[in-house]
Amino acid sequence: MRRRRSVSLMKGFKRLFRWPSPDIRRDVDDELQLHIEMKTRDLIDAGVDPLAARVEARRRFGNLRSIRRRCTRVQSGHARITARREFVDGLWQDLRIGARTLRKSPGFAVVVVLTLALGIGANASIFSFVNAYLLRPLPGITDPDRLVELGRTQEGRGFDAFSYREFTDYRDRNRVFSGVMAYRSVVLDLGGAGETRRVRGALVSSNYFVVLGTHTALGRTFSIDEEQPPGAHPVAVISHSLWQGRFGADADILGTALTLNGRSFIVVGVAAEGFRGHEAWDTWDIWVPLSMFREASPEALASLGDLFTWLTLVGRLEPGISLALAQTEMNTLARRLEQVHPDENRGAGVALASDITLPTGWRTDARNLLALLMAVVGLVLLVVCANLSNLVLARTTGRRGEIAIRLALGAGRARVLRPLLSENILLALLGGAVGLVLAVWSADLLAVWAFGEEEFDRVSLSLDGRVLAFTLLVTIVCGMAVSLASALRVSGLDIAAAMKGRVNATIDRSNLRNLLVISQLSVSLVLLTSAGLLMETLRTFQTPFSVFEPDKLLLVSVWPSHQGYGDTRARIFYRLLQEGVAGLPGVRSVSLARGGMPIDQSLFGERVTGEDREGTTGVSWIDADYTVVAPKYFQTLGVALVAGRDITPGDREGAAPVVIVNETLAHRLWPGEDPLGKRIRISNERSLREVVGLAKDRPSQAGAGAGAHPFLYYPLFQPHPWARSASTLHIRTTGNPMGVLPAVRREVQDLDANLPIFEPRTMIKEISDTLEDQRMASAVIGISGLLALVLAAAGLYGLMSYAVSERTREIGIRVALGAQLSDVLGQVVKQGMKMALLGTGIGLLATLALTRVLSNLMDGVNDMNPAVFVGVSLVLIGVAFVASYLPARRAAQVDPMAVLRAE
Amino acid sequence: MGKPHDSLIPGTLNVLILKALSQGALHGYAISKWIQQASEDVLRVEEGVLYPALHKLEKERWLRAEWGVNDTGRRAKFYSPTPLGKRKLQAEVARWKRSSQAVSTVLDAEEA
Repeated sequence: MRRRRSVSLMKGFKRLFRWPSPDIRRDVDDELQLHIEMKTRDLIDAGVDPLAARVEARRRFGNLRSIRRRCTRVQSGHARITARREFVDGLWQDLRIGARTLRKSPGFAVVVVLTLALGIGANASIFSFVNAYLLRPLPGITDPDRLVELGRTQEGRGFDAFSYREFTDYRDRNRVFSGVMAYRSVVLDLGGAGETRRVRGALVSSNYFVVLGTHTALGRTFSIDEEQPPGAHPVAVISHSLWQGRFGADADILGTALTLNGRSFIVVGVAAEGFRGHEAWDTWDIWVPLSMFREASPEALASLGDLFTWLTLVGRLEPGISLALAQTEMNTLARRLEQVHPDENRGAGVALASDITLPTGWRTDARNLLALLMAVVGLVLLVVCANLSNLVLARTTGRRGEIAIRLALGAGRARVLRPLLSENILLALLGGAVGLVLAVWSADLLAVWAFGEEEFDRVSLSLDGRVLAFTLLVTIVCGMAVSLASALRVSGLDIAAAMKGRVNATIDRSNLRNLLVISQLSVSLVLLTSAGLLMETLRTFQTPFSVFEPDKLLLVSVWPSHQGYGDTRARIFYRLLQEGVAGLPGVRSVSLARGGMPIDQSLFGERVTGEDREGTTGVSWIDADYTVVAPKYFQTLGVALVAGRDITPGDREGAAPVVIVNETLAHRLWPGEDPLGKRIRISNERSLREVVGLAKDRPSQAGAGAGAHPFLYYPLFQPHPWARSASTLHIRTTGNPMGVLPAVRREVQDLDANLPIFEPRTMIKEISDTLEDQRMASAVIGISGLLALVLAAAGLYGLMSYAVSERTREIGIRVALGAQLSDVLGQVVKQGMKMALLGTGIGLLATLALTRVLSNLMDGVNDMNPAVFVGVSLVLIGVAFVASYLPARRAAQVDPMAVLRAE
Repeated sequence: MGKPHDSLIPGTLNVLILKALSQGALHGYAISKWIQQASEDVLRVEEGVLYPALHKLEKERWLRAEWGVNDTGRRAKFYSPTPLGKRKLQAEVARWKRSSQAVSTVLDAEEA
């Protein structure tokens, strides 16, 4: 049996290719040989000598070899066409039969198509994110594979920004890059016709466009002369889409002025169509030269010297230079620079990263998050396939009589299977098509939800060939997986038993179906516990933001530096603003801070040390992050200080410089001592600051599980480089926070009519927004888990219903013989619960193994959280109980007389 | 060897094969013999042309081929026309008669 099948398979393969099979050659030889023999015989009959007759017949035939070759060629082509035609005809016929049978059971078809659509749609949806972020090349960039990002390391650690001087050093001295460019992304107020709009863009070095290998659609990019000196070159390149949209594709755009942050810039170029920067995560519309850092990014601590590290560097590898070789060269270069500039470059190095399209800090997170989500939807698909396998299996089993007859009549098993398989493929294709629609819709929904309407267009999730190919692949795999069960069933069918019509239920209630249901239950448990663990992590992570009533704290951002405010003017503005808002009705307390997030982190750090730690052997600095806060900051947040006092209006210019430290910094500087009254030295300040307050540690990162970090709070009204930059009003309200917004807006307008306010939001939204990755992950996993649970419950219900219907006769007899209803009920439920418990057990073990992975992917996931495990297990068992109780009750209602009469 | 043989007029072989098979299935040798006899030994089909033509007609689905046994018990490939082949035969015969008549008329015309 097996051998015969493999022989015919080989034949099929050979027929599909050009090689003439031995059969064809033999046939041609036989035919031609016969001709010669018959000719010979006729000649002999006509009286020719036998030997001469043979020679004559052969001679008359002509060139036997050439004729044979021509015939063989024609025959091979013929065989190939026939095989192909038979295959297509057969397939088409099978599909038609499949469609006809499905039309007879539309309910079954709809359930299967929708279930598949959910599974395939979820996969296609997440894949379109993977595609957009990780796979799709960005438009307008030549050879992105040769681009690497450079990161500054300190003592071999970190991946930070560079100073301008370091940039020029690396740009000019390396021998492994054909070019190294520097940039820093900025948010700009684009003024002009009507309202001021915020656009995203970048400060870029003159060779930015050259290194990326992109060109302009109009005009030019920047020249090296425009990199220096600061503020001297107000020129800009705009994106093609901004040119098309805002400027109506004005052909005379070059040379016209653009208002950016209140300053006039001359448009010198329009970027290539489609080019929106080189970060998959972000899209830019405006590029200005590095020399305009003060105008374009007034809040940044930037310079064209070696004071501040603020530039991200990207290099293009020379042809033939590998990443490893480049790394070696950069290490050597860094060591040389260390000798040239021992002050700034001590311990500094360069690390290289080969993927520039994702932001440095997010690269690993994004990969992990997407990998996690892909795995999750993959699991859902697994449940879908298991579920449908069971459904299809039940259908096949229902048709086993028909199949057995066809087998008994001599139909090959393959021939019997083919219509079944094409039915499944048909269903899978339909499911895939519906799934694709679901995917497009849900991906947009997910993007809007995760990034917000405003930033939605930052990433394009459009369908492309890659997404379509992926969906098709998933669809086909699904169709085949679902068919596998039927194939196994038909192969293992006992014809004789099936022909008898009444199959013993215990034989047919195969382990395969139980296994499928158990696996569904396990996978849904894994998904639900993972979602539970993530949500629990999110909850525990929000707790440390011990902000009092965060839903009644309004945050509003103002960026006076964008309107050209200097330090003094900004301080006056902030003071007047705080006084004005404090007097508004409904406002309990008001303060200002650099950012809204109550975390111990800032973009740039400060190096600090205690006055008493300055010894003769040199200074040991501590890296600390910081914020700048107005008076009553802690009072407005509703957070108590551990010791000391809040910032007060008295902490102003001219008064003694003060600072508040967090516990970690205090501990690092003065372990076991009272920090109050101690004095701190800041590396770039001349005078010392006195510690007046000790604040509780807060999380150092907008992500779960971030540890404590040394942190400083400067008073806003004492001179500091950050003073004039963006600040966030913190307004504690008595009622609805959004209710006071119009009054706040008026207050700002009264002070400066040109100053827009940005992003009004409550503190609770601020906190939850920064957790979008985790929120998205837990939502996707949660929804997937629920979906899996519903499917698993349906699967269990179906299986139990089937088992009950198979055993109706047996149950009827037992009831007739006096069995109690509760016995029948109990027996069926027991069978269901056995599977539920088994599924839960396997699922728990799998989760324990998987949470190790989960906690690697997501910081702070606690893999031992009994509450989640117990809770989810109980939910699962409860659902399983209902799913098996309902069919059991039906079994208990079996009328014994009706059953016996039906026999 | 009797009368000299004429080679076929190009394009006539297919129609001759179909005609030979209009009475029933034949193998290659029988086809060539039938054509020779029916033309009273005027037409002789070259083997080097006959077999490729047969196979091509089979591929084009004008002919159907089946393996059988000849009168001496040898395995032989028998050809018979498909419905398509039969239609082609009718069309070809009509066309052939029309054109051969026209050619004869032209050739018989008295020189003016």
